[in-house]
Amino acid sequence: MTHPTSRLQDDVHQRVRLGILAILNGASRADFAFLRQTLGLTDGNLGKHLQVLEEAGYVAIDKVFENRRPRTWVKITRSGRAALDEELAALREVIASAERGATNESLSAG
Amino acid sequence: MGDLRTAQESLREVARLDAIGRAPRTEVWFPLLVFGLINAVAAPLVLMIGRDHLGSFYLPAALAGGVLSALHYRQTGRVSGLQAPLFAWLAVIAGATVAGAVCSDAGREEGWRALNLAGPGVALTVGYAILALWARSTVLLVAVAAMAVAIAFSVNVADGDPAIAFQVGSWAVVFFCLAHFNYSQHRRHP
Repeated sequence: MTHPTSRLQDDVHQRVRLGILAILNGASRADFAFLRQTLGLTDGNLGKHLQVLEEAGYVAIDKVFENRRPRTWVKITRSGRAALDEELAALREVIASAERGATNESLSAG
Repeated sequence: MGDLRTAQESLREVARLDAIGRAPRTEVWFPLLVFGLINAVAAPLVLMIGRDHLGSFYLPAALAGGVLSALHYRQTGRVSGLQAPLFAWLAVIAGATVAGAVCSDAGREEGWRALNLAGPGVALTVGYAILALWARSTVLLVAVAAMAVAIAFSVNVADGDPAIAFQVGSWAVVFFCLAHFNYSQHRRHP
């Protein structure tokens, strides 16, 4: 039997990338500045994480001009939602497995 | 133990950020205000033109209200940088309004009083209930409960056009109150 942590995907499991997907999951789209401010990141740091997510096909990035100013909108894709669901299921499994382990330990100690 | 703590912290953080992402959906004061106005106009109008002709006002007004609400969400999303999904809102409002008109016509043609008087209201209430669940909005759930109570009360104590006038009139009052509550709530905790 494999350990539940083996189901965690590197592209999604990283704390910031998981946060980006969590925000986008409930929204239609969010802009770069909103994500940067909400997650407390620098431009470069957020840009790198978005690049990883875009290359994995988890987000779609749309660069547009609004009122003659550049703006970057980010949207979660269907596979991004699936990856987030899978990650959350894996995290719940990690918790359940650790709790089962703790219960077994206390039973054998008693 | 480290795995457990990290996983628990990750889930808590995801829940917090998910709530931030969904926040624009719970800002429902504008659609409540628009649909409150539509119902406020419909209440005296139904007494003047009769419920059989109310659809010619209510149907285009509700669809226009849906489009106006979608445009409002789009604009506020542009300003804040976080946009709520618009399709669900438009689809549910359009579907519920059309279903309400169909119920009203079918009730009149078949001579089913309950369907004619309560059908449109029930269709709209179901539509709002779907939106309340989708938006996870307590304010919309309160509106749904008040709408259902108004329908049950009006059908039991009144008949014909006054029953419909009571329904939409009381919805207007409830919508205005909830719009005010939701607006002040979001101004305090944007």
